[in-house]
Amino acid sequence: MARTRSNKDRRRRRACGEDRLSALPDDLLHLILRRLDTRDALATAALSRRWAAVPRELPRPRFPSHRPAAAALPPVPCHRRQGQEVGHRARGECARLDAATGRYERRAMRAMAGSVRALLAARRRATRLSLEVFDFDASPCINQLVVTAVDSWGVTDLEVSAVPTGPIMHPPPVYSFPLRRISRDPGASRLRRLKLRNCLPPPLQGFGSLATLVLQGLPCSTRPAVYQGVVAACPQLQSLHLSSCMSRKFGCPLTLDAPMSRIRELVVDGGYMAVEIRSLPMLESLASNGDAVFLTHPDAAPYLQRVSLEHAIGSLQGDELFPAIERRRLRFLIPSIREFLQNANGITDLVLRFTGPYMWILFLPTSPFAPMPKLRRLLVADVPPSWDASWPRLLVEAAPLLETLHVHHHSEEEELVVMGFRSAERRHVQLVRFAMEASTSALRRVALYKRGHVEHKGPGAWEAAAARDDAWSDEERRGVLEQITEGMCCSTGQVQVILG
Amino acid sequence: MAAAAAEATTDGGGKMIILISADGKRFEVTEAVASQSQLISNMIEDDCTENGVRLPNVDGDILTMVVDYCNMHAGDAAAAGDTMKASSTEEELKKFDAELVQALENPVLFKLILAANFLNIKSLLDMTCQRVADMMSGKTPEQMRETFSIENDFTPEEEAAIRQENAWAFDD
Repeated sequence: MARTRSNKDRRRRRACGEDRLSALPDDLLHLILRRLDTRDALATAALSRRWAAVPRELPRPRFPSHRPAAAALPPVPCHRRQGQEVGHRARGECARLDAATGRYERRAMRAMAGSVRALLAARRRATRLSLEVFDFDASPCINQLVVTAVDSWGVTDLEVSAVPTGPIMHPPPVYSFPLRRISRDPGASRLRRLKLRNCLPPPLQGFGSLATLVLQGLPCSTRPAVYQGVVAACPQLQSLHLSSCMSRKFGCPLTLDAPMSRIRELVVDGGYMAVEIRSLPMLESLASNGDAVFLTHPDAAPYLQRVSLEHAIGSLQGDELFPAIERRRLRFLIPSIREFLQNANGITDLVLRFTGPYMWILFLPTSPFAPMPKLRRLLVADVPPSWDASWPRLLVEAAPLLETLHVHHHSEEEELVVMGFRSAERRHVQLVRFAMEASTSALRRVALYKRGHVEHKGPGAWEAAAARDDAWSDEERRGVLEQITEGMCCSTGQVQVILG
Repeated sequence: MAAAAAEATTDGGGKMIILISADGKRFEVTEAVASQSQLISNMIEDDCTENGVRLPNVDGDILTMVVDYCNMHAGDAAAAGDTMKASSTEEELKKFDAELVQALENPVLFKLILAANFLNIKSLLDMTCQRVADMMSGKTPEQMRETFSIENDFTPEEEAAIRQENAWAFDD
């Protein structure tokens, strides 16, 4: 185990030179230890008595990825080769490979079990623990480690990611904690954030501090009761992320009906799930990326203010299967967007990112945008170059109180233009003029940038940043202003035009 | 720049501060340069730098390095007056820092850490601690002892117990 062995004489020999490092006070040694990865920092305990006495309350374990042995916890995964894909000639090779892999797996597991025992033996403090589980069968010791981390180390931020290493299966196997718990005394735990990837949530009753739960990559075999269960068990939960989780059937959404829940933020992304919100009374912000979200009643989420909706639709033309599926999806998606916006009538901030080769948002004759009486900030992000500016007009019409409108146009030159603006593009000028002229609109600020990008600040929140290197010249400014205000009289005075 | 002819103020009007090392060497620096040290900055605020600032636990050779460092890093070139290399760009600063840190050897490095800590110059303290961490990282305890002349005063039993406790840190 020890990398070097020294004999007793050498051990006792006083090293030449003065040991100025050990002479530093504890707080300075801490400054240095903090800059080492966890493994090196712990190894310093073996330097001398002075070092063994330095308390090691390392704020956050750091496991460097470039040193595989440092990841003694967990072991390096042994990806097993897929037997069925190998031809006859390679059979002998395979047998030898299998034997070798098996040997290494057993060795890695023994090393891991030993490491976990050693980790558990020492008293530690840690605020964040991030684990990857590779071998689902031999994991009670990992589960035990999690329990200890939550109960005695005071971990506030726990991340468990299960990575199956066996042959690829469909659906992939999902991990569940073999001890069926992650704490002996949930009420006393400080766990604030729990992120589980490909891992079924353990019972979460009583984790009073838990504020954020992220469930990622759960397969379609997951029963809706699993999701509903965690929402019911954690009424104090503030933020729920369902990421790349799959619904059992697309047409049969997961219903969230939790009148006691204090969830303020819901994020659904990945595009495999349909969620119907029946009751999340405290919900303030919602982001969905590709997943269908249904809001069937205005009272289901009365405080919903910030919403981000993203949908990408593939090609609609042609008789092949794929366009047909997409057309069917649209017949179902557009009314659902309309119904959503109708029932979320308190929205103040909205981000829409609709993409695809065809301007699908106008696929049905009816406008997909219900009136949004309180909408103040609207971002239409990443408009594909093949889409024209006709449809954001519908949004402007639907939102009488709109104060800020950002339209990001992806032009052919890979330019990103806030307010979609290139003065040579007639349709861009038209949109600006329309927005400024619309008598129903309370639009106060129009920002025109040649280039820029959006910084996302959480669901439904963003900030537009202009590229500094490509500002308007004075001449251009004059030209643009003339173009957009030509023939207008009174209304333009209320709108601030910023040429950034 | 160090121990330059005494003059109460520079042309720009920035007040000069005199730093006095443990062995009596005097360094004259502008306020802007000196106040990178939080300790001195506080003293300037409290108006107790009139008769020079005595730094009883910083040697002259170490203080020379600290003053050089502060001169290089004084943010406001104008306020720093003529002693400041007004045009030191970020690139030059990085190069200067890298050279300084690479040049540091065992005893000087630790004296500099103590001085940076005492004077409370965060960036210098960060830089020097990082240097020590770089010298330690990836080494076995035995190699660390070699590098820093640390005496192993464990009994074999104690050492075995320590290694046992942190076993995973020693596994390969």
